[in-house]
Amino acid sequence: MSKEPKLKTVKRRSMGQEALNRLLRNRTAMFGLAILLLVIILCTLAGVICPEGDNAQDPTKTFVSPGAEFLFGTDNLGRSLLARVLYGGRVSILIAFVSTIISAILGIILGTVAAYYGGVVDDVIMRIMDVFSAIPNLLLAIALAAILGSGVFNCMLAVGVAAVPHFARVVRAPILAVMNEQYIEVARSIDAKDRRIMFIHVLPNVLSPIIVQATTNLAQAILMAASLSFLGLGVQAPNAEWGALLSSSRQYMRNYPYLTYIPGIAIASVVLSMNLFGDGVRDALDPRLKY
Amino acid sequence: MLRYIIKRLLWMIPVLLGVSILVFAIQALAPGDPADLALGDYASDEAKQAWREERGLNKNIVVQYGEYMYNLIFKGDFGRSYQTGKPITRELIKRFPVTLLTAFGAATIAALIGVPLGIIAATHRNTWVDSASRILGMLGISMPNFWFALLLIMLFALKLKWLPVSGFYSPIYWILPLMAQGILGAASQLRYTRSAVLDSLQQDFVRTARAKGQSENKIILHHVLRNAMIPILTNTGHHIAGGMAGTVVMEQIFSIAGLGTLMISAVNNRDFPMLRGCVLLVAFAMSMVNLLVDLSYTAVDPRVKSRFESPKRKKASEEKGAAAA
Repeated sequence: MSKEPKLKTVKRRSMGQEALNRLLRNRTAMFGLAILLLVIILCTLAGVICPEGDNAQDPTKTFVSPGAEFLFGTDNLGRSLLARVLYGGRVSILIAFVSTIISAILGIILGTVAAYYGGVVDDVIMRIMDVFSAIPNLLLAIALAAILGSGVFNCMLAVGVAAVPHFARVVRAPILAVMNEQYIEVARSIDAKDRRIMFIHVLPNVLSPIIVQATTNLAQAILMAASLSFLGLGVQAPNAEWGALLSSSRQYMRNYPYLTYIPGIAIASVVLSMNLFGDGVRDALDPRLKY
Repeated sequence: MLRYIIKRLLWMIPVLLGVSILVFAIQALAPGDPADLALGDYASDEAKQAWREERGLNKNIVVQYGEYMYNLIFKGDFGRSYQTGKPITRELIKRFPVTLLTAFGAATIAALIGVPLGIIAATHRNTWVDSASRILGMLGISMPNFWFALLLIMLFALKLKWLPVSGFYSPIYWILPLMAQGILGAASQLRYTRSAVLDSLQQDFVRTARAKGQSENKIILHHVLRNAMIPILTNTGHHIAGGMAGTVVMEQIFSIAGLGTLMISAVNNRDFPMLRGCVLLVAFAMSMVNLLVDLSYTAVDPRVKSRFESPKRKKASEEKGAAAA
């Protein structure tokens, strides 16, 4: 009467699925993602919510306090702050994503080339990265903004380029470790092209540090872009952008504090959601570090 | 040790030379003629030409760079401002201490608040204390520093009228800018300290110390904290260095006459020699801070120190160890 013990079959899952499951189970990360998506949806629908646009002025309705008519009130030119915040959010969030993509692409290329070819190529690239990192990020972005001038695209470029050295380092270190693996040697021995080895064999190994770096960079990028605009070197009036909104609110801080509160809450909540999500992504992809 | 310091100082030279080339390239790449801005729209072409000639701007860019570096290295001369015509070196000497004070002051506040909170959070892991400090830390790193500064001004200067709105004349004026930067820095310091302490709490030596009946306070102070010091010091270094960039925003908000305001006005007026001077000075200061942080490792961690010993002394101490065994 021997009974075969029933073996529980474990569904095989890839590392990516495991990580995704961990991320989906992380409540704070999902909360962050929910806020972020909500803000993105609201900003995308800015045209529907505020069809009059972000620059519709009404000289008879300046400095209306937040209330039924204007949810967030109006500014010194009678423009609805709700519209300014929503349209501004489009710009701010777009800058964060595009600049992160710019730094990721440049960083991946430089980091991979440096680690893959090694020797002089590595030295030259990494020493140039050292030079860039010798200047604090914000100052580098300011200096780049001085060359490029103000404007949305230039702001993306300045913020993006300033973060490149960080990405390059994050990419280079794991690749250096991978380069000694046997499968690279095998790929070389069958005369695989450099480009093929890089994309098929090397880059998948550094995917998770890149994803982690990119998600944490989003929050930094939005703060940096807002700082640049706040200093008058990024997006400029009459275009709405969160940092620029705060900068112009300074004059009216004493009597109309809501002009300062609301754009600040917008930036802080988006950065917070990006940080919460970023922490979750890091924990999911690198379970060793989980506390 | 001395050899290490000299090596590090020598290593700074190529990096700083690189920075100087980079900042010099800014002028070459930037659109617009500085003469237009300095002399106004109605200046004649001859006047502009003479203005450029006077500043050596008609020469080859490589020659310009060579002359600039010669003056900088051998005479400590950063050139003259396009905007005011005054020597830049004097202006930098006047403004730099202010920026240094804000950066160091804010980093000190950040460490004084953040490190103890981080230790408490880590030792009370998974309690309400830990959750509260984690939430505070998260909020702190998510808040834009310029917004936080504006909120502090609104509360303490405009509403309560306890502190002045702007300026930097006496210590009472320092409170708001230092607090604005320091408190937010404390949030990041808290997060770093917490994870560094948690890391070191999981090490074997903590178990050993507990097994021999060491009191928990002593374990934290002597074993855990000492081992967590390196990441904490590294983060403090980041705060000082980052603070020098962060002050750009603070100086602008509080109208402080430091490097930051100088730099922003240099960018707006296309005063490239001034911008160059500011960036070079900050890069130099940042390299020095990094060096000091690395040297401070030796004070807290004897293992790091042994790595820097001269080969001769290292051999001698190894022989001594072997003889003792």
